[in-house]
Amino acid sequence: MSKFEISQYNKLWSNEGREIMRAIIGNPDLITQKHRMWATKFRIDSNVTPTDAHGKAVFTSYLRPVGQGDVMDLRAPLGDSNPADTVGTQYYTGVIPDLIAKGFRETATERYYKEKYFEQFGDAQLLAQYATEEVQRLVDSANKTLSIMSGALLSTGQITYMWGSGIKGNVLKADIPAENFLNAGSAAWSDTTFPLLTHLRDTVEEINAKLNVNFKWQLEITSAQWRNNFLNNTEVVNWIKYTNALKFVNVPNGFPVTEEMAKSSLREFEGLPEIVIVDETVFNTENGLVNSWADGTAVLRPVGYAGYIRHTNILDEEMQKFKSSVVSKNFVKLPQIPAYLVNTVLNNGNYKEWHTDLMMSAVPSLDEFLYHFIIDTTTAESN
Amino acid sequence: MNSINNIGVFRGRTLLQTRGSIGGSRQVFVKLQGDKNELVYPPIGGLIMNPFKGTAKAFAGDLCEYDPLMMGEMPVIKILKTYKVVSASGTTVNIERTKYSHIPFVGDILGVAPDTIGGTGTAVTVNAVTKTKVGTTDVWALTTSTALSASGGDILVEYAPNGKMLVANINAVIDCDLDFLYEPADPFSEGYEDEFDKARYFYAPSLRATMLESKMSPIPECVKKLNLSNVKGWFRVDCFGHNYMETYGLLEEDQVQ
Repeated sequence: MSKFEISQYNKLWSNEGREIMRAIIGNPDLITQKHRMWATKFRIDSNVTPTDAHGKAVFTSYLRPVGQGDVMDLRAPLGDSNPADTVGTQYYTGVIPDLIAKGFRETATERYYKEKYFEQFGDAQLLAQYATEEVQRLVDSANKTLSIMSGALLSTGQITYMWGSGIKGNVLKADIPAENFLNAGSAAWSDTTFPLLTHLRDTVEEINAKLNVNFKWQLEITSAQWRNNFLNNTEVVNWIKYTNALKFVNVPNGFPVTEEMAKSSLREFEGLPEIVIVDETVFNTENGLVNSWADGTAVLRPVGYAGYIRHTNILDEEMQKFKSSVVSKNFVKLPQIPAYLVNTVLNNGNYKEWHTDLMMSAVPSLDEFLYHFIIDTTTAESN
Repeated sequence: MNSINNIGVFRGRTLLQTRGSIGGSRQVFVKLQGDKNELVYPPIGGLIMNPFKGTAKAFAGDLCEYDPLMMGEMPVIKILKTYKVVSASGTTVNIERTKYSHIPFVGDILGVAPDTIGGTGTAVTVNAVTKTKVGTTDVWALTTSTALSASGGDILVEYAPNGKMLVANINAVIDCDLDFLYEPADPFSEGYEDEFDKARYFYAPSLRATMLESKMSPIPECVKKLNLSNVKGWFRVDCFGHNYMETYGLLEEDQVQ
């Protein structure tokens, strides 16, 4: 048996390769988890959404609005009450799509080259190259995909998948009430004289009163909006100067304000929602730099997670019970991501061929949809 | 109410039946010995552009066009739906109705298959569909928007709004029966980009298969010309077979050698 046969790299495609793959994926020195914006906004659903025989993997998101009473009616004695309308539990359903990353493929002649390489440089080099190039790329794909879908869902209320080189089109629309889509206020937020902090405080107070809630709110914006609209806003700058002056710290005109300095000051503005900067710009070969969250969109929602990452079974894994004896497949679940790395060995003419693929059947769902507000900060209210 | 997921309440009694058989099948694929390499699926698959407008079936062995539309566009599938004419007169066209027939629906745009796949022909819109008989033959009687010149034995196919046969190439096969159960979104309609609730079907067809012609859905002459089999009575589809696209003028001008 040649040395290559017993190498760790070759074993990746055997049954014992699952453990090696798990070790690779779980090693932070080999695989880094990047583009994880989605994990700060959504939790992975601990339940698997089943796929039915019709090909649908349907999840349902329920939310009960907080009821509230109206003021009483002045009446004459013995006069009966008017019946009250009630609001039931709101829901929407969604289905989970299937996704696949660009795959790794190696023919026998390419393996031959690798074998010669191994004889010169050793197994660790091969494994490290495979892990840091191929596996890392696939893990990045999964994280990028979940983040880009999360950005779209949070900032528009829907996911229309127009990225990559696969099927394109509408995937999911959350049932956000129409009245939750707000405009900027009396002026666009790009107007530096607009009293931005006062407007945000008043908006939160109005929402709390209308919905009979007392949430801790957060305002999610992109870093470009933070730099261009917040740090340039007159009311914001004056507030930062004021709060620093109270601590006997002088902030000269034109002094660049840091994010930490600004946030520290803004925390002292009573009633203001927490400002959270979202950064989900990713690079995709087909689309270039992609930002599924437009810079002019702000999201106002309760502090905490926005919902779950729903996921379902992968048909390719279920079909393994019918697999051919000349094809072998290993499925390894990624940690912290509802996706599977799949290593396949199959025939290509007289020789073998090796594949590594990443498959995922998952989608984020917005589960606080009644309390999710999307603000178009570029459009002022019309008079 | 979302009828797609059967959500809703009716306080009365609903009477509803279905009937059929489970487990039986009409074997359409030629049974060959030895290692075959036919259940080969393309990358991604595609969106079915012409799903049935109601509850209906596509059958194992049905032909389709897989168009990856690379260069940033979207991969799509178009199913070759065919309907065999029993008789036609004026705006009434009677088509064969068997348990292995494609079901017609109001709104379908159909016409006699042209001489060349993807070619131009006269198409009409189906305004009504009625189950009836012509003699002892079960048929659907289609009421069409205008008179269709057709005779018994002609094969009707779907046409695109531009007056050309919708399926422009045959390079893939449906590998097992597919049940279409839901009201579909229409990718050709205005407003499709705002459609989230109606069904969209994603499918990966097989890129090769050999079928028994006698067991297949009716095949028009323009499709028979694309048969790669040298065995009489067998229909072979192989996306890697003889390149007939140039022969039949299916290549774009800049692709012609």
